[in-house]
Amino acid sequence: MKIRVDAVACRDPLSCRLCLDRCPEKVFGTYPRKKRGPDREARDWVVFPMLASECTGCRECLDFCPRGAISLG
Amino acid sequence: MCEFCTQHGEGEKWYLVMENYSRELLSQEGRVEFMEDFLVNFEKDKGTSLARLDSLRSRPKLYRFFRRKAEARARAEHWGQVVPIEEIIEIVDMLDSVVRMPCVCRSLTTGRKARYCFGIGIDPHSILGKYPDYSHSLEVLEREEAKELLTSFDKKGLVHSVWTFKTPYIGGICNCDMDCLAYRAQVKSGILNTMFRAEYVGMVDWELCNGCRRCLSSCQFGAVRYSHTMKRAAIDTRRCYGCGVCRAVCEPGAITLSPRRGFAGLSW
Repeated sequence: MKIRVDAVACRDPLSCRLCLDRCPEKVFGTYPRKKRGPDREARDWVVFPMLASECTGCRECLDFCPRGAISLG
Repeated sequence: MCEFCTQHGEGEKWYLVMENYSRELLSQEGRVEFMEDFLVNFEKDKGTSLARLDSLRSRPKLYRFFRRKAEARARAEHWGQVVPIEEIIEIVDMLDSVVRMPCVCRSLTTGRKARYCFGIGIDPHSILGKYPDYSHSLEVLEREEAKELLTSFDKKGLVHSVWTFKTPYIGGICNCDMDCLAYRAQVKSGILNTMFRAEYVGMVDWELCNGCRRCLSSCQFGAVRYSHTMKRAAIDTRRCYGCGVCRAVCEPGAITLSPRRGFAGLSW
């Protein structure tokens, strides 16, 4: 299954986390785009499909995502 | 015995050998820098490389090639083994200090900071203290405090494991469930192995089992089965990781761990 997460539409995933929490197959992961630096917090976290091959196509994430940032193809 | 026991344990269990926690070992091969880079960039580095490997699953030859490569690298750099609570306590008794820190796996898989990981033998303040994401959640634990916490994790059903930073140096104890990256990669999806099972497997004493089925829900590996006809639980030894957390919920004490090496048909 090809999963796309629109990084522009998905803002501040760390305070939302619905896709991370609710995906039954736990397909998603999240990482900071800007690396951690000394005295600097990691910023701009993005959600990405980490184990896309586990996706069963249940389409729950499409319903849960409040910003419509996820698409399946 | 797992292959690390032969290579790094002089035939004993490698994670009970004091040398594998020594400061001398830590100071060699750029381990301190490796640990810092590993922990600070974990989410992006490990997350994206697992996603890359996953994308190759539909191309078996390429997938097998890159999986082998990734596993060889993991064995040399960061490999784990499941260890039951008794031996985790033995390990903590050998160490000078334990530092509780946020789990990098759960940061990647859940977007949350959860302090289930222990840095051992070293002072992560010197490694992670300069990173504000980590610095305020690091906590040095007294030995007894660490043991109590680990025992409470065991009762909650968290699986303990030890992890190397440039094998054979052991720098971490993890307390994991399905949000662990090793679990997602090795157990849930089976795309990449990153740890050995424990040196044990669980066995149910048929005479003692009362058929309460608590062990079924405590097993993270789906290894416990239940027979309605016999009113007994049974452990599927091929699935069992030997973590032993099922014992904590077994009231009649029917589950014990047996050495894995006694089972000719089982591997690690």
